[in-house]
Order: sequence, then structure tokens, then C-alpha cells
Amino acid sequence: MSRRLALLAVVWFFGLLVIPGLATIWSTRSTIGNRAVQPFPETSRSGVADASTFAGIDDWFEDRLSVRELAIDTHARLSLDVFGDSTIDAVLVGHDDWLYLQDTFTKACRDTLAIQDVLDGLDTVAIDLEAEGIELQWTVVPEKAWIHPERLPGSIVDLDCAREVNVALRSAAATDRHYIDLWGASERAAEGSIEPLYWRTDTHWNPHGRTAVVSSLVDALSPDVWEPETIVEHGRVDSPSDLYDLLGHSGTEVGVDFVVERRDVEVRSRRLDFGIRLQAETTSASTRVVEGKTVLISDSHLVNSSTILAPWFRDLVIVRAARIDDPAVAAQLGSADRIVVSFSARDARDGLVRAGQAISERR
Amino acid sequence: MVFSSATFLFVFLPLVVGLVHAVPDRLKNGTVLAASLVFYTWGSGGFVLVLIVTSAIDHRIADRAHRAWRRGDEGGRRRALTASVLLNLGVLAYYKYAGFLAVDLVARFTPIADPPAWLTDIALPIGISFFTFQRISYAVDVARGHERPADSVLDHLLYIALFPQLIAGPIVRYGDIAEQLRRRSTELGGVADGAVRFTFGLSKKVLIADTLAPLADQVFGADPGSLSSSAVLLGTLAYTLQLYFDFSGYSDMAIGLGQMIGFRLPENFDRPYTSASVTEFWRRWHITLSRWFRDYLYIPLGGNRTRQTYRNLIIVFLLTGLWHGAAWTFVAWGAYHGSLLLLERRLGWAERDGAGNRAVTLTLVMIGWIIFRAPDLGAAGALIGRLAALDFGPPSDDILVALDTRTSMILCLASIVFLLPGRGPANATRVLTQATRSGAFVRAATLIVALPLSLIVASSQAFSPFLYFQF
Repeated sequence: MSRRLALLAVVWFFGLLVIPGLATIWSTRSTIGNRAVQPFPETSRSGVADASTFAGIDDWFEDRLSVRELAIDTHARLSLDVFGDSTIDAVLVGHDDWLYLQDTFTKACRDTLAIQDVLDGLDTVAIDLEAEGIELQWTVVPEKAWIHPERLPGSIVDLDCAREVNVALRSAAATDRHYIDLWGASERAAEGSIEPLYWRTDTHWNPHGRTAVVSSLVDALSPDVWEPETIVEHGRVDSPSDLYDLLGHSGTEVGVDFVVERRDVEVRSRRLDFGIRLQAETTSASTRVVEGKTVLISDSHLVNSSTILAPWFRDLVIVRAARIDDPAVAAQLGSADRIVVSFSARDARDGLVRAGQAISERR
Repeated sequence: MVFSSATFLFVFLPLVVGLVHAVPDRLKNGTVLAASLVFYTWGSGGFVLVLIVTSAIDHRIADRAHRAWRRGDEGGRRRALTASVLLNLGVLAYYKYAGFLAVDLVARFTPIADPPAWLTDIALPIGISFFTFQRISYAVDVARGHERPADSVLDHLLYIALFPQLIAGPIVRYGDIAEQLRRRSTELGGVADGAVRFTFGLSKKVLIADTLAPLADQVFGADPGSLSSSAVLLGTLAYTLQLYFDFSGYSDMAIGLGQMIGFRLPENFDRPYTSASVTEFWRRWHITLSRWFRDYLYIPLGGNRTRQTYRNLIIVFLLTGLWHGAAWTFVAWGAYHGSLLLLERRLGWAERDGAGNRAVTLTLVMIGWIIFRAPDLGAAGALIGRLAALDFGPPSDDILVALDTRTSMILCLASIVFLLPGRGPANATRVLTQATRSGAFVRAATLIVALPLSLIVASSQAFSPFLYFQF
């Protein structure tokens, strides 16, 4: 190797190592992975003799490495774009680059609660509430694997198990008068549309799917309120993607956006610690909304749909499921005319039990 | 500290290489020694004291043996050498084999049903098998007068602790680097060659070996009864390649690091999977270990010259197996290879050639890796049984998930190592150093393509997001 080439090779090699290493001094901590970042290990004289101290420093440094996010993002993109593979087990790559959350197939199979016990418990709560003049309804929303199974990858662990659990859940629910069948509504909407209802790289509904499901929910709560003609296209939305996030991929997904245009409805919104309160004021007597106060306890699916939901409810309090035990939620539940509980299929059993307990203990 | 960790790549490596080149010659050994001790402490904590203290004692004993040799005092030489060997093997036996002996032999075959925790829960200092063998080779070579003792205990410690080879070899003999400890060149060309060789090893490790690992883990972690022959074959193939690319990649990194700081370390692999006999395989696989066993055990036992050649072979290979780990699977793997060598000698097959023989040898080696990798002997037997059942149904879903597109492609590409010419200049590590157009192309590709890719993968390895985050 000539001296000039040798110099070039050395500069290149050490440049790729030294620059990211030095840049780490000024870099902010990595937020990728949505997990607690490793703190610097506690140091003491005895800690020097303990290899775990140094392993802790390795983790601390790795989390703060200036090129870490770029490396994870590039690795995820290369894996997806070149090989069509995921870099982590939690995300599965289906046909046409559709991504699926593996938990969709495995979590339901790890639950030990019997479906019928869960529903019986909720019925008991509903009967108690009826005596107080509060209506309780609940629903299970399907994940995209069940609405768009045609894009699932060829082999998936525990698919049969999850399907079995879901069939049992739905058949039990079908005979329950408190159940709102958003699952069936999603299936019908998907059959009647060439547009998918879910994002390709996200676990949630896209604007099209969101509109279809919300219309079914509003119809179930108060027929003749929903006005399909008020749903209009509103440009394109560049949506962040949760499955990309899991991969550390910084990409987003673009799709057609929809808004509700009800000219004689004005919506007021107020952020709360545990969710959001949306109140629709009508300026015309002929304009109908779901009357009374509705408290909706939901995971991200319906929480993310608040802008579509808002113009249809006189008074809607959306409680994020993770904050169900917040003391302020109990007061909202106590003053509600109607409580709606919604969970995605993989969290349904666990979520419905927690919601039932929170409602029972609202005082 | 692992060579592919972020701390090593982005801090330790550039800092140490920079320091070694910045300090004056008289401080270079001290700088490398300090870096090596930090390197070892990072991975082993307080065990660095075991390394330092035993090396200091061993240095004195070996010195005494050498002086006895110079005086012609055969008795004194033997006593000192025996003391050194006993010290080194004693330390190795305590840390690596005491638990195994207590649990697998004492508890099983004596009335002592419950051996004490101080015997069964012993932490293992990393690299102990490697540096023990280096110290024994030093003591023997110095006691025999083949080498002059190290100039100081610090030079001895540097020979043992030299960080590129400290925890996973190659097993360097004192004679290999004695002169380099006194005087070595640290020129730009050496640093550039070292950088290329290091990158070559890093990419073998993170781009190939680590990609194949989940497939091998999936198969060897499964219940053997649930596996088809095709699944066992896939898993064995993946492990065969993973082990080679991981270990030879590490050796490449060690050799490259050595070059960057002025040391020439011995080669450790030479296309082992192209061997046409198991005898040849052991001349190409983990060369420095084979050489050690040949020179410090097989030949002293009598080697080929005694009528006990077969006994010597079996002893060497049982110990080779045991050196790899304190478990019956390793002992069985050693016995398996020893038996194959014995058979080859008996049948005169040790020096054969040809594609058919290469295929047979590869098959035998792969069966050996099943014994080596299986969690226990029962599982090894069951896996080999499943393979022999010739049930070529599709692998299970779990294995198909592990066999994604990238793994399949890497598996196919990596299998090229089976097809390389058995002899001649095609060895990629040789091509790397050739002053030819192809050599320059490989070097450029290694640095321009493989280095950034390897750094990307290495930097994102520990990425493990929470699964239950709020969407």
C-alpha cells in the first residue's frame, strides 16, 4: 500500500470511529426505543472490582452514542428495504411491506382469564349502573391482522391460538346486549372498500378506517345522528408510525385525511390529565348529537380518533385506558349518563376487567 | 470489553492506538500494558489482580527454571518448571473445573450429595484458558532454553495481557513476539493494514456470525423431538458458519489490532472447512491451539514415535475438548475428534484430497459441532438421531421466522467458504495483504463498504425497545 493510500485508509478508519465518539460528548441522550435510558452506574472503590460497573458504563455510553439513532434507523431501513426483514422480533413484515405487531398473535394466548368470566363480571357492573341510570356499553376493536389478513407473512407464531381466542370473545360478546360490534362493522367496511382501513406501518386505523369505525360507534349509541355527507377529504396527512418507531425507523406514512364538516356544530375541547373533554354545541335545533354525558374509556385506537368523534357528542370525556385509576376519572364516571369501554383485541380481557373494577369503585 | 461494543470501537480503540503512536518508544510498552489491564478490568473486574499476581509469581518461577537450565541443574529446572505448570493448571482447575468436578463427579459418584457453594459457584475469569496456556508455553520455552526470559516482570505481563489476544486468542507463544516486545515498528502502513484486517474481522462477526446466531439458537434451543431433519440440518449449518465467522472474525480483529500497535500475531485459521480429512481440519482450525497441544503435550507424551501414538492422540483430544469448557459435551466432542483422527491414521486417510473427501470431512465436522453446541449429551444424541431420521419435512414456524430473507442470503453467501479452493492463494486474509489489483479492491471494499455497515449494525445491536408502550 502506498503511503498516500495508507494515510487515506487510516484517516477514513479512525474518522469513522473518532468523530462519532467525540460527538457523543455533545449529543443529547437517545430517546429511541421508548425506554428508560441507562443511568451512569454508581461508582465506588469496590465498584472498580466489579465487572458489572463497566458493563453499566458500556450501556450508558451506548445509549448516548451520537450516531446511535442514525445507526438504528439506517439498520431498520436497510433491513426493510433490501431484505424485507424486521430488525426486532416484536415487528413482523408481511406482504407488500405491511408491518404487524407480534403481540397481536401472542398476547391473547398468554392471558389466563376466561372470556365468559370477564363478560359476566361486566354484566354485573352494568346492572348495578342501570339502577343508577347510567348505561354501560363495551366493545372490542380488531387489530389489522384480523381485518387485513391477506397481507400477513407466511408463518406466524401462535396465529391459531389468537384466532381461537378472538372467535370465542366475539361469539360470547354477540349474545351480550351491552356489546357494540365494531369488529363486525370493521369487517363490513373493509369488504365494501378497496382502501385498507389500517396504516401499512402502524397498528392503528388510517383516516378512512377511523371514519368507518367511528360512524358505527355513533350509530350504535344514537341512530340517525351520523351524517355521512359531512365527511370530506382534507388534503394528505403525514402520520408517524408506531411500528416504525418500534424498529427505530424514522419514517412516516402519508395518506388521505378526512375531517367532519358540520357547519352548525361548534366543538370546545379541554385537555385533562387523563384524557380530553369535548363538548359539541349545536346552533340549529335540527342538528342531532349523542345527548348526555358520555365517558369513553379506550386505548389508543379511539383516543386517536377524538377529532372525528368530537362533533357527534354533546359532552364526551375520553379517558386514556392507562390512566383509568386516576382519582379524577372516578368523578367523571360518577357524573356520566353513559360509559363506553373499548379495547383492542389483544388487550381486551385484561382491559375490560380493569375498566370494570374502576367503574365499580368509582365512589 | 468486547471488540464489537460501542465503548471499544468509538473510545478505547482510537484512544489507545493514538496514545501508542503519540508516546515516545520507551513508553510504548507501558502504554500498551496499562491499556491491556484496563481492557481486562473492564470485562473481569477484580480478576485483573489474579492475572497480575499469578503472572508475577510465574515470571519468578520461570526465571528460576531458566537459570537452572543455564547452570545445567536439571533437577532444579524440572522442579521450577513443575511448579510453574502446577501453579497455572491449579488456577485454571480451580476457576474453570472445580464446579464441574464437584457437581458432575463428586456429587454423582461419592456420598457427598451437596458440594459446598464455594466449590460450585465460582466465577470464571474471562480468557483464563488462553492466558494459562500462554504462561505454560512461556515457562516451558524458557526452561528449555528455547527463549530468553522476558526482560522484566512487566514485559512478561505485557506478553500475557496484550489486549488484542488476551481473552480469545490467538494463543501467542513468547517466541512469536519476544523480539517485538523489545523493538517493533509502528509505521503508517502497518496501521492501515491493521485497520483493514480489523474491519474484515468485525464484519465477519457482526454482519455474518451475529445474523446466523438466532437461527442456530432457535434450533439448538428447541425440543429435539419436535424438529425435522431439515430443521436440524439448517441449525447445524447455521452454527457451523456462525462459529467459524465469529471465531475467525475475532482472530482477524486481534491480528489487526496487533498490527495497529506494532505487533504481528500468528494466524489462527486457514480455510478449515475446505479440509479433506479431520487431520487436515486440525491443521487449519484454531491453529495456535493445535500447535500448542502438539508441542506441549503430544510430543512430550511421545508423539508419533511411540507405540502409544493412539493413546497420545486420545489424551490430547480429550483435553482439547475439556479446554473448550467444563461440560461432558466438550469431552465427548474431543473424544469424537480424537477417534476420527485415530481412524484416519489407521486407514491411512489423513493425507487424502478431493471433493468427495472434503464433503465427508465437512459432514463429520458438522456432526461434531452438534455435540459441541447441544445443551447436554442427551440432546446431542437426540439431534443427531433426528438428522439421521432423514425426515425432510418443513421446519417449524419458529425456525421459519428465524430464517428470514437476510439470514437465508447470509447462509448461502457464507457457505462459499465450503467451496473455496483447498490450497493456494485464495484465502481472503491473504488477498487482503497482497499488493495486487484484487488485493487493493478487497481492501477498499472492506473499508468503504464493510466498515460503515459493520458500525451501523454494531451500534444498533443493543436496541431493545419496550413492547408494552402506550401506542
